Amino acid sequence: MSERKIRLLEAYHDGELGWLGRWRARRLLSRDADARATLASLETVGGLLREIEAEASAPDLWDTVRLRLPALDVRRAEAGAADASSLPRWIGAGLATVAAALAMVIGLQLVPPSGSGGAVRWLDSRGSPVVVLQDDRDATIIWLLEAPAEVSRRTGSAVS
Amino acid sequence: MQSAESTSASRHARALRGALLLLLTALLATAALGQSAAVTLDVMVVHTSGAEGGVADDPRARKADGILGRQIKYKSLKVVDSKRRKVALNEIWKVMLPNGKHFLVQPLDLADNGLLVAVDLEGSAQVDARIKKKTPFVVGPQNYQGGSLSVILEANY
Repeated sequence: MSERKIRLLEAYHDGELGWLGRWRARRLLSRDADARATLASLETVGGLLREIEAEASAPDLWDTVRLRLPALDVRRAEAGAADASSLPRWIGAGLATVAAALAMVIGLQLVPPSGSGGAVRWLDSRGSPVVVLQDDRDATIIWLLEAPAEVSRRTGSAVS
Repeated sequence: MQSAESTSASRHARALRGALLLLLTALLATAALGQSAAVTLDVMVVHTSGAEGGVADDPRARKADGILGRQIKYKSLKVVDSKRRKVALNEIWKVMLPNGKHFLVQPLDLADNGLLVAVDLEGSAQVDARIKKKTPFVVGPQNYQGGSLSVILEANY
């Protein structure tokens, strides 16, 4: 299709034509399937642009960033754990114990990525006390210890 | 008759639209590729409290009770919301909770040992976990209407 026809259709789509221009555009549309397809594409693109404009009113890029960053560390940790699997077991267990003790002190729980079969790899409770009530093949339950009085743990070891 | 200024503006608008058309095509193609690596996520929001009421007569509530009942003490349980969605890897699914806070989940990596997800219960905790297929992953609680809200996440892939 010629550029002149495309411009005519764009102007028709945008409502910029006078009656003669509209008549020419309609005549073109009635005779030319390509012209009808082009107009349909213009309408589709216009609709998508309107949707994007509506959705883009409050871009929330921070969500993406804040979820991605810790996960990158988790992937590195998993890769590192695979590399370290050749170390003697007692060294690995000792390092894991020290890391877990340090993590509890600073409010983060870094859970070894393999061995126990648990799901949790990284946890940040923003300074609040937290306990992993269950982490096995049946379920994983992360419970923050700021629950209302009527809801308390039934089992476990670290509730105050 | 249109002024030269408005004609020029229309020309610019058309050029911009052409560029956006190309960009959209590229984005749609990328999105189509990304959709091929997607997982189905189920999110169930459960309200528990110490008030009498028992477990709601609802299969979802009975399932939630089976998950929470062994670990948490409560006298009533009901499911206040449940959603299912196919989520592409690296996409963030944001679920609004009844208390106005958000639960965010982002599937990141699918491997033999499970699906790596990043989870954020707004104002409470951020967790990364590698969850197995159809194994419930619970984060909670958040205060709500005299009780607690917990979120149960399950992945199917």
